[in-house]
Amino acid sequence: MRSLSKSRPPMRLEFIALLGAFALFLSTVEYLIPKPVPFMRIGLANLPIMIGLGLLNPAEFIVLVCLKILGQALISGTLFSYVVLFSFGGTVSSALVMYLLYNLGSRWVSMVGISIAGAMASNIVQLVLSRYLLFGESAWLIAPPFLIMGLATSIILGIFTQQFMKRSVWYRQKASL
Amino acid sequence: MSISRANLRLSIGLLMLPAILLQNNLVGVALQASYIIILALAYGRRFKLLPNLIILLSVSAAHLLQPNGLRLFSIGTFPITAGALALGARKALVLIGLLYLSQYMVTGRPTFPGKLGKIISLQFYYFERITTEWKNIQKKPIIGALDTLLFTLERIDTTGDRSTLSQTKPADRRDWMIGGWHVGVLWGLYFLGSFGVLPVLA
Repeated sequence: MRSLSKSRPPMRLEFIALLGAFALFLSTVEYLIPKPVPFMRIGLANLPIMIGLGLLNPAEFIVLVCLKILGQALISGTLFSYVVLFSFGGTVSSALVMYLLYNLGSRWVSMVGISIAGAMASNIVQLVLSRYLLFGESAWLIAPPFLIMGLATSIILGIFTQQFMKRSVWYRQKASL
Repeated sequence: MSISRANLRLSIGLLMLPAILLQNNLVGVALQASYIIILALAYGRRFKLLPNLIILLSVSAAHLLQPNGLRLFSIGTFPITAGALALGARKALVLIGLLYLSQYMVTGRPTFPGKLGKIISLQFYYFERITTEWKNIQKKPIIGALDTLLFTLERIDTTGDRSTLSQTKPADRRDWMIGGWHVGVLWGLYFLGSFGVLPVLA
């Protein structure tokens, strides 16, 4: 079990910004993929967040999550629309769940499990928001396909992250610091 | 008072935001959304018909599941009601309007103050470099490509001038007047809708 309070030097702004930019790059790749509704996301941009689980201390991790939300909203131009609420709710809930699982239960849960838990937390929060902001009670009708899609994409992302953490020289170097 | 063009646009957008959020008249919100779309287009943003059509149809269809107001016709035993249709269309148009307003607001990439501004600027600097470097990297195997990219980025000296990323050119009198006009149009449409000057559809 990893300790929640890692003793690290002062906040590494450049490193966090790099991971934030990486999330931005992946979200622009994702933006090019057509989606039925604007707030549906595959979650590619979660890869840097998942990488950050093993590399950042809690404060740095929070800054990275904020950068991802702000950066995505600025790039896609959704910063001042409802969509940013979906992004905020989804990202914060999934980051929180993933962070707790990684630090408290990674002995029993793999990155695939962490990814699935994060995606489910994100999707549930987004469904609740769409119930109150857009669709009303009809939001529950889109819940099954929404959750199934989230499950499928999070499994793929989890497998990829696991492979990245195992094979990446860059990641191994950073994790050993 | 000196303010950059990008930050003036952000402020103008913030003043326009409540006018569309508070609008209850369907015709009013349609006019406001159309105006905002034209505004975003004028500042170089692109308009894609299909995603907007999907928002309009999906949000309207979702509201039809909760019948409300005058029954227009039925599909089998399912009633299509005017109130539900109007409510769905209004919500969809507000969403579309906000999306394009948000796009207009971030054209020119506004700058934020303090430590947050510094880290966002750094993030966008790295982002520009990623998009440039990625083109030159062999993509397979993908993990190797990502490794190369991340190592390349770490070697970059970030102490140089990054101010070119945002439009720091100060706004002149003309910018203020144009901004004021946009705010006036949006609020004008809000009041026309609120005082019943614009037609009420449902």
